[in-house]
Amino acid sequence: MRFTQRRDEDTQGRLPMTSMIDVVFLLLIYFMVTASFSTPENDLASGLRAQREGGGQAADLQPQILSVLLENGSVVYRLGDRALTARDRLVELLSRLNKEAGVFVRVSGEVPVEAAAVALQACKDAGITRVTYVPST
Amino acid sequence: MRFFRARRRGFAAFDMTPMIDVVLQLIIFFMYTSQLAQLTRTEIEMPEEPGDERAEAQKATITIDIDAQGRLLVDGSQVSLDDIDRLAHLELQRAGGDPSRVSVLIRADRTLSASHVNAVGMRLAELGLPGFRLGTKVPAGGRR
Repeated sequence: MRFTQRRDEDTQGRLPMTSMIDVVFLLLIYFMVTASFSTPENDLASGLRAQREGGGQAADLQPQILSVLLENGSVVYRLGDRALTARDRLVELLSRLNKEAGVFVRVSGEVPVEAAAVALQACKDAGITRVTYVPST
Repeated sequence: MRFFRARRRGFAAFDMTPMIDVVLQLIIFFMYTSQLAQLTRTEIEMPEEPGDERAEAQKATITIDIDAQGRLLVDGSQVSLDDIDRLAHLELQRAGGDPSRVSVLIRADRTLSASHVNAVGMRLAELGLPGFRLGTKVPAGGRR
């Protein structure tokens, strides 16, 4: 008489899959939950120079100055005697400048931060690597 | 009479369940702790620009958040411009007095007046810091 059940030969070499499936499900849930938490962030690097009052100011600054101003309630990007509002035109104009000399971005305190970011991004898109932020009061 | 059962061949399989459990716990622990730093970031509606991807080596030594109300926040705590001065001084000392080794990231609300960023920028410039980085939120569709 045979009391013990015969072990199935096929199941002996198999890994238990239940735990593996548990792991996969938990990882899946983890990534789904955390993916909604963090939004990707980048940054716009720039040099920094304080605008000094009084003499010597004009000599300190390079002629390539991009001013970000608020005129008649809208943001204007002024480069020399040209006043622009469209980003594409700004990038086009900046790309014609001497890239080696760099650009000073003078940001008025009245404009939103977004306008300052647009100016910095436009310089980057135009291939200008030396960008200096000049805080303006 | 035979009392002992014959040892079966091919019965040397390891029980993988506890090992998988331990590995799972370790994976969850390390993933959770590595994400904590990012999860504690203050929620700021930053300008949507592609910007530059932040390299691991270029991580900011000082991160200044400016929320929609114009409050200055460092590590989630409200600070004043003088506190930022002190903080920057400390970082400068830690960097051996070399301003180029102090990296400042300003995460400012996009709708906020730039005067707040300018005020911080003026202080940093007075300390001799060569620049700063303006935080941006990557647009949903990638580049604009």
